[in-house]
Amino acid sequence: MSALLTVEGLVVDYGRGPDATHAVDGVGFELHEGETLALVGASGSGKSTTAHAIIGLLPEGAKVVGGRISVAGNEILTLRERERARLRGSVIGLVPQDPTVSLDPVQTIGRQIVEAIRLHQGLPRHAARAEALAVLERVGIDRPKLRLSQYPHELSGGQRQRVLIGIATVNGPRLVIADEATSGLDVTVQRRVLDQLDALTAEDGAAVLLITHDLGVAADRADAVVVLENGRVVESGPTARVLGDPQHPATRRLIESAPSLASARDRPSRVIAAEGTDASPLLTVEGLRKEFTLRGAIGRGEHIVAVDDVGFEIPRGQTYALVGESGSGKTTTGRIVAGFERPSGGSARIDGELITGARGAALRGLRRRVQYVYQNPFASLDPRFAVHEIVAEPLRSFGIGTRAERRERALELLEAVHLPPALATRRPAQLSGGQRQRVAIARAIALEPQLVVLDEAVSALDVLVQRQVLELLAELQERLSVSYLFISHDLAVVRLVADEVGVLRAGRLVEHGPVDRVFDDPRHPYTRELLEAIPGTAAR
Amino acid sequence: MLWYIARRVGYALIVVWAAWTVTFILLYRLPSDPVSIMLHGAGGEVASRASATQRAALAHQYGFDRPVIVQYFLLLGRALRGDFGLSVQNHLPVAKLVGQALPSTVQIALLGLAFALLLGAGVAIAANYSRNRFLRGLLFAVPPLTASFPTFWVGLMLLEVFSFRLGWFPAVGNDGFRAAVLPAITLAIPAAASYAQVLSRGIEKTLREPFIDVVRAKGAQRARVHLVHAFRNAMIPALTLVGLTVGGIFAGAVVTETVFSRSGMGNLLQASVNSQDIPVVQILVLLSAVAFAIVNLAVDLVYPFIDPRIARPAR
Amino acid sequence: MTDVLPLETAASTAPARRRTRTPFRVRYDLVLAGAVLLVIVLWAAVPQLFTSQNPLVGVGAAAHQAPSAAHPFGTDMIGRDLFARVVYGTRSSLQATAVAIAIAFVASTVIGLVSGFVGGVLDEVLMRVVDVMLAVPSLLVSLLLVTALGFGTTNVAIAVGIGSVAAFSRVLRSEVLKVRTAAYVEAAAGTGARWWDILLRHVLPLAITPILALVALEFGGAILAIASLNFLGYGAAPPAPDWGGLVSDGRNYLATAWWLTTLPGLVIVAVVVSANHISRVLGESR
Repeated sequence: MSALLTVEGLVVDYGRGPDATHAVDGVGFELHEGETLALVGASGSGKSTTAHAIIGLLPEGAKVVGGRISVAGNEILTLRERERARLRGSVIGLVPQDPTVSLDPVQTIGRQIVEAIRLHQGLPRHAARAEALAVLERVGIDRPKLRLSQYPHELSGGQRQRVLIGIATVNGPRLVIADEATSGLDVTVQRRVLDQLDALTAEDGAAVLLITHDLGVAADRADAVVVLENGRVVESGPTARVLGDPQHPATRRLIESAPSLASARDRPSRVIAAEGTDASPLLTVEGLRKEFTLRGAIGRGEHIVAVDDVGFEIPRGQTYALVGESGSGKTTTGRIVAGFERPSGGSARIDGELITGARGAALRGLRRRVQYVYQNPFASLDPRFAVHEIVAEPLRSFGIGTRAERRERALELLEAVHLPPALATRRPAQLSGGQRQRVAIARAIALEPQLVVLDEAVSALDVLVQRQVLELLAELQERLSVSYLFISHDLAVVRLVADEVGVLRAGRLVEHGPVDRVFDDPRHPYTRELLEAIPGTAAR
Repeated sequence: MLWYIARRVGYALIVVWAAWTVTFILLYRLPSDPVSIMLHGAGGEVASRASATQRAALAHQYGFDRPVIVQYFLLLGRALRGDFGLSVQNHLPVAKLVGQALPSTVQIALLGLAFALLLGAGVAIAANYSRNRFLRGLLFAVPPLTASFPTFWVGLMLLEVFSFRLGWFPAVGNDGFRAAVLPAITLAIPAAASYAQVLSRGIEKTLREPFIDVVRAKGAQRARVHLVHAFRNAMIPALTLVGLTVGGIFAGAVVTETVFSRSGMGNLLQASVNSQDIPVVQILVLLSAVAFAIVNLAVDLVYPFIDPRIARPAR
Repeated sequence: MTDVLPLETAASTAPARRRTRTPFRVRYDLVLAGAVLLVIVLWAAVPQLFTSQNPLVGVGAAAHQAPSAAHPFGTDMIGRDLFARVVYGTRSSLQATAVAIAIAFVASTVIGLVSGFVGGVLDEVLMRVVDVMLAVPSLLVSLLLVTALGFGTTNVAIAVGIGSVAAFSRVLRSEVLKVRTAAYVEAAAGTGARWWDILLRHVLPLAITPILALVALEFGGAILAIASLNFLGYGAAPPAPDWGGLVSDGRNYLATAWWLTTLPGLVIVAVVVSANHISRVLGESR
């Protein structure tokens, strides 16, 4: 049987002339009808570029310079643009990366589905509209009739991704490309959306090309896996074989660092409490409440309770994780604890001293004890400052040491976060994401605080880098006996780092306790739902 | 929705009232003595010769002999009844003078707006649609360049070329459509330049949005991607700009009508400023605020139909 | 602004340093724009170095001449050298522009900073007032002020300055807000930095480029507005030349002496285009 999709020796360049770099460098694989193939790799490995070359939507500056792509007998690279456009949507469907930005914001859901239908089927408008309704029913959206006349912003991320799956499959394509289609979604939604995609493609016998950095997803869904590194295929084969018995070091690295595949045993070693020196908790949060008033363009303000009666304690030298899906109030809680926001009610105390309500000098004094690390290290580092200046800024703020001493100390701090001293004079823009987050961590520990709030601090990082940063955090905890408030949506990561965990849902703490107890014996149904939705269960 | 409309109408009324107040403060309170200005304006040497009686009569007519706050409400009350006072220059009611000048200015303003919209949208779409690098660069570069041209100079250049050299259009006058073409183009050029800039950048930005990839993945051809999706999204910021520049078109009319020796509100304003005819100046400036308020009200009411995020904010 | 950020917030393990320093390249467009402005400033400072002709006294025999080597911009109806008049007119035009910018800038900086930093009710009130001011085009506000203050170069400059306060307060406020809400400014507060430290070390350096861009933009705008008011006849008294007035004088000879309107106009265009271009480049370089 001939393959539905054949890629041979594909080379894609970014840039032109002598500056050109190979983003994809001789990639080849085959995909047969009804099969699912996962293209996995770290970011920058060329997996997305390969997918975009297949559907003919390479970004500006990228160019196919060699190789061959054949989809259902069509030689994609030799076709004219008009003919390629005709294949898109009819033979090849695309489920894009981020559903929140992938629908035209000013057109109704109905119109956008009708457009997809009418571009390839000569249906009159009303028939296309009826077909669009059927599409929404098929992808399992509630109240489909209402959705037709709604706009994208009125739907949740998961619902929008269903609409996009509907659009991708409406004309019965032979090949569906899902480009990190669920990476931005909360785990429970992710699972339901992937189930939907599986069901639809199984119905039509279409092939699926799954682009993902999450080996858990690949393990659950794919028949075969192709592992990419630096634009080259380093390993490929049936999923069970590749993930169960990886041959190439790149594959092994990916598997080891995928949090969803790692078991609790792999957790970095850690001290078991601080040898009974001081049993009183470091941080005490009681009855925390935060309300916001949203003001819409039309109508009066709307009251929203972001945090509702949240209370917990963090012992010295330990890590407390707050997990929850987006909008659960976990970041707001973290910002209140760090003194960036005031609660509407309740209190947070560190060592008995009130954080909530502190102002001016008192608040500034608290900064020596509580530090904060942001999700996006690039935005939180002043672009004009050199790395050593950024790291020494807290020392300067509190007038610690002379300029020369501070510089000396900055180099020590960089060493503590395993950054070479050569980076000290670089600017943030010249660092990689992982390096930047290390700089942010170095800045946070400069004053040797008692508590560091880590707000999704590793979420934006690649799995490999994520793993290294987590190890660094554990090491620093051991050395400095600092406590962490670890805020994350990623349960798999939480299991690796936390001593205790609290599960937030819609501003309320629904369950909390020691991490092993919560993971092995969840008591609240919501916690169970979250745990079951972690991808990669099949491979464990 | 009704609440939205009520709020927008209320806002428009507040803008007009506030503009009236600001003009009152600037014109009647800023200089030490509006009576002297009015008498001076009424004709050269009169001021020095004006008798105390004359001064007192004029002062009484405008209520200057009473406390500021009384003057304010006296004049505001008259204005609300449609009485805007007499022109100091020729003693005609201001409302009548303005009424005579209005149609000719509205004619070139509307024609100019139409030209500006067509030209602005055309250049923006062509600039983004073109695959030719040179043409693209040119179409992106011309609007900011023309935005730097002084309006009066543009008018004079058009006159020189199309009236005096080519003789296609009359150089001066108010009669008919042909006489309105060059003034309207003069008004349109700066407005078109700003529409084109905002629209081209808007289209360029929208074309880089991820949803455009999805539209293309559906199989849409280039023209559809550009017109149905990119242009419609880029229209939203441009629409706000149209509201903001309408006042500017009126301001341009002052210069344009002077250049083309047309009668109209701009010409009336120029003459009134020259003779420091305070009541006429106040009403003309106020009218630009009224035009602004009306156009922005219209824009606000159209907005929900173009940008659904305004009408129905996300939950 | 955001497109300057490298696209790697979800970064890679590879030492992502593709965007290392680009080799310094001469921006000829900037050099040209800067040169135009420099020449104009020199015209204003030392006009006698650029022309030997008298701008106020004409030679009757030389009246109405098209541009030539002797008279690069031609002569007017009473034989005065137009180039000399443009050069000597620069000082008055630039002085007025400087006054206008100073007024616009001081006023709008105060309003913008207060509005952006203090926020709350004060911000609300100031911005409503600004909204009303924006409802009247700046040229009309200037005309209003000229009516109230009287004619003359200084009054025109004051009128133009005040006329542009509203629009610039708006822009300055949004710049202040942008900086105030930047994550790294909050992060600096999080390190315990005092507010003046944050202002001096983090906010001002970030704001300096947009402020310069704004000054350049205002320069172009003020030149245009002042030229327009002079064109309408509210500026300098007759014999003294200024740019807008020169174009206005030439109007009556449009059919016979094209140079009288075209060439002074082109000088204005060159200056405004240069200023706007510098403003744009500064604005984009963030």
